[in-house]
Amino acid sequence: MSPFVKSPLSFLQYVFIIAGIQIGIAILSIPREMARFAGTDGWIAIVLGWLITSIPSLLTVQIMKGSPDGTILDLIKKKLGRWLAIPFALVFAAYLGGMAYIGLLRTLLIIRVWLLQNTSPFIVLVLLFIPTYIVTREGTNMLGRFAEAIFYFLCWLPFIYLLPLKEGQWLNIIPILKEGWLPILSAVPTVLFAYLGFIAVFFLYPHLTHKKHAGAGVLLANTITMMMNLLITLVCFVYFSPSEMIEVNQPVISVLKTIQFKFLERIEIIFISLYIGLYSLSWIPALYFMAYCLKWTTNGARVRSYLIGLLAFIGIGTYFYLPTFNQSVWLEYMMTRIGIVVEYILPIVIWIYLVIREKVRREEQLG
Amino acid sequence: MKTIIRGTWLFLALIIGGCGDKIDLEAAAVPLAAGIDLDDNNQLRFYVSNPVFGDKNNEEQQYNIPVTSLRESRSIQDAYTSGALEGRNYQVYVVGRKLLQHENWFKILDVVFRDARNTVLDRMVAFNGPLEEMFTVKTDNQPPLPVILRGMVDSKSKRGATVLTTVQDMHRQIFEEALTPSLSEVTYDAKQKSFRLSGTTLLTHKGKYATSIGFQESVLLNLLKKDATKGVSLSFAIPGEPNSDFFSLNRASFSVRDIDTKIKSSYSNNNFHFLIRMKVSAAMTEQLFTLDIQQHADILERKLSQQMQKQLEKLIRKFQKHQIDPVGFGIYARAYQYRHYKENENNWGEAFSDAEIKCEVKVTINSMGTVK
Repeated sequence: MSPFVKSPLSFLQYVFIIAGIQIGIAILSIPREMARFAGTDGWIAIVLGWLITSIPSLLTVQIMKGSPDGTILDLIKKKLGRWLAIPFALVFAAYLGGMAYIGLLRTLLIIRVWLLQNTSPFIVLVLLFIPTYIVTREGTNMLGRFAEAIFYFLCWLPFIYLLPLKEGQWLNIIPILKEGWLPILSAVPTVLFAYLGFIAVFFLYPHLTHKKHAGAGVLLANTITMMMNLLITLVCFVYFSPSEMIEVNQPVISVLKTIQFKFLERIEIIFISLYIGLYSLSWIPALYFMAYCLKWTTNGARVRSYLIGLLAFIGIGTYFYLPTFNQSVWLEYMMTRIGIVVEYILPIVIWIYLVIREKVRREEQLG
Repeated sequence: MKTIIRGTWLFLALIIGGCGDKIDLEAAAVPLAAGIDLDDNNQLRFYVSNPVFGDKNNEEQQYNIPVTSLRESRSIQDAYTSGALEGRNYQVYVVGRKLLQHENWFKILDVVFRDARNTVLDRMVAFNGPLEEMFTVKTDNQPPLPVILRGMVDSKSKRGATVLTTVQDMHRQIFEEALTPSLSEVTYDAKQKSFRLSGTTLLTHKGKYATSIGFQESVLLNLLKKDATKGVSLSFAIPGEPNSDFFSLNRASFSVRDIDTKIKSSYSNNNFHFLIRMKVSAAMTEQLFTLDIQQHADILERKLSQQMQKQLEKLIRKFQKHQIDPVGFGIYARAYQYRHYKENENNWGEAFSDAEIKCEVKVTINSMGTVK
C-alpha cells in the first residue's frame, strides 16, 4: 500500500495547511511594509500580489498532475534521474528550513517583547518544540488535522479587528493611487512574502483524496490569505495616521492595545498567545517537509529521526545565539528574495521543461 | 521508559515556570495617577499618587521627584514607596501648564509606547496651573485624585463637554500632520476646594499650548469632529428677546437628537476652502422667553441656526488665529486635494489659518418639550 494513501488529506485540510503557512509567516510585518513602500495605497499591492501568485500556484498544481502518487522529488527522479533530484531536494530542504527558522524566530522575539520579558528564549523554544514534535512525527495527516483545528479555533479572531474601526478615519485611505502606480509596484516584491508557502502543494498533492480540486484549493488558500492580510492592513491604515503607521513596529499588535473592555485591560496579551497557534502553522509544516526532503535524499530511515535531529540542532543553536530583531527583519528580506526564486520562478521553469519534454517525446513518437 | 519520560516532563514543568518577575499584591505599590511638569527652577518633575490600602478612607501617598527621564524615575519612585512599584497601569496622566508651554514635551512619554508592558489607554489631562498644586491638595470628602480625574474625563466627554484623549490618541494626534492635538482640561477651584473640568486645551502641532475652550465650544468642536454622541446639549442667547436686570431671560437650550455634519473641501486662488453643512434636529429643553413654538417654530429655528452658525464661525476663527486644526480639516484636504495638501503638509497650521471656511447650520425643532 502506498504511503500516500495511508495518510490521506481532505480538501479543507489541504487548504488550511497552505493558508496557514502563508498567513503565519507574514501577517505581522505586511501592514508596516506596505505602508513603508506605498503609504496608504499599500493595500492595492496585496491584491496585485494575490493576482500574481495565482499563476505559479496553478502551475505548481499543473506540474503535480503528472505525479498522482509521488511528491515533486519522485517526479523529478522519474523524469530526470536520481542524481539530479538530490540537488533539488537539498534546495527545497534548505528553503523550507529557512522558512521554519524565520517563523520560529519571529515567534520567539514576539513572545520576548510582548509576553515573557524575563524568560530565556531557549526555554520558550523548548516549550514550543513539544507540540511541534507531537504534530510533525505523525506526518501529513496530523498536519492537516492540526491546521484545521487551529483555523476553526481562531476563525473569530479577524472580527476583533473590526473594533478599532469605530475610532478610525476612513478618509486616510483616499485618494486612491495618490502617488500613482510606481510606489505600489515597488511594494509588490515585498508583498509576495505574504504568499510564500504554496510550495506545500509539491508535497501535499499525492496525499489529497480529491485531486481534481487541487487547483481550486490552492486558489482558495491564496484568497483566505489575501482577505486576512487585506482586512488587517486596512484596519491598521484606517486607525493609524499615515505617518504614524511607519513609526510603529508591530501595528497589528499595537492596534489591539487600543481595544478596551471594562473587565479586561491589555487584551493584546491574550491575542498574542492565540497568535502563537497561528504562527506555529508556518514552522510546523515547513519543518516536516524539510525532514521529508532530507529523508528522501538519504533514501531510508524514518522522518522522525530527522525531525529530532533538526529540533536538537535549532535548539542548541538558539541556546548559543539568537538573532536580534533587526537581523530577523534582514532574514525576512533575504527569504523573500529566495522565495521568489524557489516558489515563483522554479515552478514556471519546471513546467516549461515538462511541456517541452512532452512535445519532443510526442514528435519523436510521430516521427 | 514511558514513566521516565513522563517523569522528566513533569520535572521540567515544575522547574521552568515563567514566574520570575511575579510580585505579590501585598508588596506592590500601585500608582494610579502620574503627572509631569516643570517646577519653578525649570526642572522636570514627576508626580505620583498611590492609593494606600488600609482601614482609613481615601488615603493616598503623593510625592514628586525631579527626573531626567520617565524610565529612570522608576528607581527613584521606588525609593519612596513601601513596596515594589508597579507603575505600568496609570489611570490618568496629567500634564502641567508650564510643561505645555514648551514644544516636543510629548517625546518624554516615549517609554509608555516602547515598553510593551505599559497600557496606552490612560486618560491624558492638561492641568490649568502648576501640578504641585494638584498633587499636594487634600480633597476631603471626595474620591481619590485618580478616580475623580478619570471619572470626570469619561463622563464629561460622553456629553461632549470635553474630549477623551488617551495616551494612544495623543500619539496618533501628534503624528498626524493634518490635525492638532486636544486634551481635557482640569482646573483647581480654590474657592470650592475641588477640581473642576473646565473644557478642552488645544495644542499646536508640536504639542505647545495654544488656547483653551469652554463647554459649549467643546460641544461644537465634538460636533465638527463627528465625535459627539446624541444627546449633547447646547444653549444660546437669542438676541431681541427681553432680558431681566439680574438674570438672563433670553436663553434657549436644546439637546441634539440627530446631527449630520458634512465637510466639503476645495482649492482655488491658492487657498483651501471648506464648507461645513450641519443639520441638527433638536429637542427643546429650555426656553426662558415666550414664543409660540407651535405657530412660529420657523422663527425660533432660524434664530437658533443663526446663533449656532455665529458661534461655530467664531470658534473656527479662534482656531485659525492660533494656527491650529483640532477638527482635522487637514484630513479632508488630504483626501480630496491631495496635491495641494502635500505642498502644505509641513506647515498645515499656517495653511489652515489662511483657509476660507463657510458654515451653514440648519436647526430643526422636532420636539418642544412638555409645555408650550
